[in-house]
Amino acid sequence: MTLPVHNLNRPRTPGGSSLTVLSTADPCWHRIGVWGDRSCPELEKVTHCHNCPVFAAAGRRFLDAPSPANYLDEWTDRLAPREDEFAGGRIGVLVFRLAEEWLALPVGVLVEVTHLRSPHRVPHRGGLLAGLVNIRGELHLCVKLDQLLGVDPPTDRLPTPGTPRLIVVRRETDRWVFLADDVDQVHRVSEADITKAPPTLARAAARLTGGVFTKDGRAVGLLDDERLFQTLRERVR
Amino acid sequence: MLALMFQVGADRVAVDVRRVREVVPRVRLIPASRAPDWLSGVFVYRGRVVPVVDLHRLAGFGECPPHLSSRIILVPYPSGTDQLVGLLATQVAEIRELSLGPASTTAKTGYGPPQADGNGTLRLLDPDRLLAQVDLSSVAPQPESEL
Repeated sequence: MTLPVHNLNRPRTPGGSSLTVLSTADPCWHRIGVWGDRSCPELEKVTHCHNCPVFAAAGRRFLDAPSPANYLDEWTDRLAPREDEFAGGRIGVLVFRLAEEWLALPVGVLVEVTHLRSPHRVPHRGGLLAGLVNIRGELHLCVKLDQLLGVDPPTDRLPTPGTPRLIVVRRETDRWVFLADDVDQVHRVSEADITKAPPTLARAAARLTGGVFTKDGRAVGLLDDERLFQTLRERVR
Repeated sequence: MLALMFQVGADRVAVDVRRVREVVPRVRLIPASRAPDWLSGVFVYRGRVVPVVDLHRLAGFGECPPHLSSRIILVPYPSGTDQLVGLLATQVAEIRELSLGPASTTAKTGYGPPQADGNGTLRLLDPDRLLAQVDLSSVAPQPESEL
């Protein structure tokens, strides 16, 4: 995050009241921080101003600005209605893409989605295991989920462009990392909208797919996380 | 303890997140008639009426500033029921892991004694004790009745 720093130096008196905010912050990051001469002793500890509590506190001062017009009305309207339509079972799922297939996993097993880095291959181990990846200083096993599910990348045309990401999942003590060709976002789907996977799904995927739902006009296969983790444990050891 | 951090007047205050149902932005409040000044009013939250207590006024710091960071902290009260009371405070912008010493017991006002927290101090708030000493009967919804 880059803060528009000039705002911090300009005293503001919103609405003619006596509230003077955003005026006292010393933009030390421009003087002695990473955008300055880097002489700040704190940099030894925090490495970058982004990690420094002084910088975070300065950023929070933006919240001292008065709320914009319509803000109160908008939130009044948004919070008033009952949540009846959301009643019943709704689950949060992360939607992602493997090759041409859109899939989803319950957020309960999701640890993080992180940027792509290439796994270190493990000698004499191929198959489903793509290798080891370093996620925040911890080594994780990276698996080829597309291969496990039989989702083959189309060979006759160029792969659909996307932003590949690594997805870290955990269930009890099992942690796995896999590569997704694209990550959409977390959607909340009603359990009633999830239908059984069609029996024509004649692939390894059928056994691991708990159901199918439609989101933004495309069918998304919801993976059964329990069976997925069990299968990974059996096949990758 | 995971705590929601906010500001009441000059005090940095922490409340246990387990006591908080939701934090919502400020909304347009409907003033309650014959209400004390610390009772900012009521608003409709998901189809029910929720009274909002201005923690700044209650603590004698004047009105809670109309900042973006001023938010309504919804706590179930009485504890364990489905009824909610909103607490209006400012700088409601951080959730932090706190390790509090034995001095974290709260006084009758609901606020604990100031404790060292980095360069400043913070006080632990027990919403139950705070709300136990204010009278919300003029705006409290009748339990299980049509609103």
